[in-house]
Amino acid sequence: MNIPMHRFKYARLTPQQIGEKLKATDAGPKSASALSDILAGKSYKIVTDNGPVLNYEFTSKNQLTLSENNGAKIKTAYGALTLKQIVFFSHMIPGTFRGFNVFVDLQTNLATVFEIWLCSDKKEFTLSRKEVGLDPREVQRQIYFGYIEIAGKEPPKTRHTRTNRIEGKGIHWTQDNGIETLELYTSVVSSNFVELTRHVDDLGYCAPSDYVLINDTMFIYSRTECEFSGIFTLFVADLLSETQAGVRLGFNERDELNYYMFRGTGKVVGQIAYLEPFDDHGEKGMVVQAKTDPQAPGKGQRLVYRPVRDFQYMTDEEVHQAAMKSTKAFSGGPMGAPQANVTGNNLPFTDMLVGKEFTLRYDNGGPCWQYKFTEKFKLQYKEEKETQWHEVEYRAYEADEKLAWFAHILEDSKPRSSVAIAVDLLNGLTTCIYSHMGTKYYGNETTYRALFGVAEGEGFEAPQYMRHECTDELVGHVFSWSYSDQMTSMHVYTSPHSMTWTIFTDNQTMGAQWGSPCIFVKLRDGIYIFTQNEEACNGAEMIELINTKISHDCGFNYMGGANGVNLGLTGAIGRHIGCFDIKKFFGPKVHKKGA
Amino acid sequence: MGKSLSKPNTGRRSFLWKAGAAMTAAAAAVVPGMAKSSTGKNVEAEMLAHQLGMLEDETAIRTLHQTYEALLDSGNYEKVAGLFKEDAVVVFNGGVFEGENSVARLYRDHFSAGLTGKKLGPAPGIEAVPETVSVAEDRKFAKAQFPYSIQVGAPMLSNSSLVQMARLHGEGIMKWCESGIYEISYTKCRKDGSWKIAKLEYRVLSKTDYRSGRAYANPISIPQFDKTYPADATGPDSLISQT
Repeated sequence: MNIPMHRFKYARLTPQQIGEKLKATDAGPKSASALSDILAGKSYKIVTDNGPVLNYEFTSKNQLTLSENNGAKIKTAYGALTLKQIVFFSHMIPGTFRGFNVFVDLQTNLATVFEIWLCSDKKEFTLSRKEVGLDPREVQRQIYFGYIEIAGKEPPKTRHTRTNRIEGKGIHWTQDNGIETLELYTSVVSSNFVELTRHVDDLGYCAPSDYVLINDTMFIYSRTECEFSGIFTLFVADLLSETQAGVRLGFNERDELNYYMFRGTGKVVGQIAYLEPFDDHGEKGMVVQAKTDPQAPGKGQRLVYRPVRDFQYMTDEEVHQAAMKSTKAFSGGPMGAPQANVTGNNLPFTDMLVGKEFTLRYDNGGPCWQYKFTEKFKLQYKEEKETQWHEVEYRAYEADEKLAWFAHILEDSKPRSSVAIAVDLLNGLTTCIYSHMGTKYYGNETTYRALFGVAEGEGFEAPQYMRHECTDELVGHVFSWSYSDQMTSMHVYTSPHSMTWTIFTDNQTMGAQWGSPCIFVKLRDGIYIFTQNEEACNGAEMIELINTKISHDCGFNYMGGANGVNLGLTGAIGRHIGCFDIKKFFGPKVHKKGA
Repeated sequence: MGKSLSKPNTGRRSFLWKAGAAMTAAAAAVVPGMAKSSTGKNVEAEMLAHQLGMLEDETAIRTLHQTYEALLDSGNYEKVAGLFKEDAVVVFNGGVFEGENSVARLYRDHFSAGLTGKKLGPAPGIEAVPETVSVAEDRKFAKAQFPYSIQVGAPMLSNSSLVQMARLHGEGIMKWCESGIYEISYTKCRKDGSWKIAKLEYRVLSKTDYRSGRAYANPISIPQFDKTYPADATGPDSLISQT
């Protein structure tokens, strides 16, 4: 698949179409590995807290009968896999959109049940109070904790629990069907995943996730690819043997039913720090508190960020008309927010360029701009062939020793454009992040590209061949970025071309996440440009220069919409939260793609 | 307004003292041979009954205030407006909210959006002020001062993805700790004798960046309301500077 998941137009399957396709689940899940017969001939009465009582009779290796809450018995096919003392079985209920996935702990008699269903009629409110119906193909789930009732025995007093013990861990998994996935569990309600074999661009994505602790070495994980295909992945993993057993259910991008069980082997690729209080073990689910909040609690409730639902499509021309009315530089933060939220911790501006004049010549026939820096916040520029100078506002940082990092709007540009430019005064190398309004998807998204070149002028002796270049040095690294005391985000650089950001909750538990493609440019050792556009989200671009020596970034944001176009400021204090050893999984020839 | 029945900042001890007085009064009422007025009524008994009534009023007012604080602390904003008179006035953060709809707007919309009212602190270095309750002799009106130390919040204005995602957690709010005094007037409802809040004013003594668990607090400056309703959808009817 070469269309990014956030750009792919997944078909909105109807309940009739889904029901038709689900008939195939009557035969039970497929599996590349042999399914277990451990349950054949057994009966279980599973009692759950605040949930159903499930009476199972396993008549064979792949047939069972189920009575829910002492209701009528239904017959269906199932599949089972074992992982150490855990038996995991999965089945759907014929003629319905529902099914159960059950983890039974043979040592403790505890059971955790994931009831799943499709075609939910649930409505949600977006953050702008827009009511949206969930896509019928999006798999819903409800977790019940319980136990196997054994005649004459007291019910166990403990249960499997939600947990933050997996938070911050990363695992590379290889399933028995050849599928490789890099999973970074950098939240208690979400996870990052990079489909190394199915998607050709190695982009990282985020999806709502659940984490359940079985014991100190084993956990259950689920992920629903909400806002993408809606497909559901669920497994139990053992961290000592680094093995997994699970199920995948839902519809892929070709609308084909996936219902298969899998085994897998993994490798822990790192553990970043998690920052909540030491006595917080994440046992309480993170749910939205108030009824007035967008996603009120209810069966299947989970925290899902659906930003594109609130993103208003605009054409290129509409955005340009808005830009003609208002194009601002350095007068507000993202979307007009008060600057303090995003710049409270910014680096100071520099006057290091005042009085300087130079020409920036970019490669491959790229632009060639002449500059005169007349004041701390005013510069003049022109294309080499132009006769008239443009005077514009700019802001500059000394982002590293004698490394200037400045930005301004390109006057009268259509589409409205801005440049953020790093000029190394020590070696004459320059990189420009050239940004303009509009992508092929939305007029109110930004497009950016990196231009590499050299500075010419007094004091420069620029190289002929050497250039700044894109880098993977940050891949796997994780930083928290505190833009102000009120706003901190954690960036995970998930692949050479993507990143995710995570919001900390009040007690610094990692919460909601979203991700985007991005680029990294190396300027010097430990000094990088990082640029990303919040695609299919709000279209805003962040253009940062990261200085790992001082754990600080500084830079700009660029965005446009109905209120015009804005080039703003941003900057944050960083903390290095850790690093995943994942660089080795990326590169053009590392994996066979499209499995 | 009538005499104060309260001792400053005595809390539970104050209540016990008054409970003792009430029991004494009740006991006295049944003692034979006490003086009678010209109307034939027992003057001392009337006095004691009046005093007992005053004490009951004071207790009712304290209970009403506890209810007010508990509703805010638990985020039960919808119910707070029910504690006020129909024509009540609330003065908060430089704005004046007058009447049932405005008071409801303040608590239901403005307070709930900022999770305002959750009990905090008090912040280190902020001294608690005494509480007093004064019931008028006619027992139709009362005034009180109660100290408060609460979280006050205002939603971040940005629609950036960071703030949007924080809102998913019920956050995305600029929070601070505010300590001060509630200046409250009460009136007694004619129908059922219950007390209602007639006017409540937040008299701010400190605004700090304190959060629970911290050992320090720094003073911070928070802008007051600068727009009225409906220009500010959760704003006041008038600004202090205009009144």
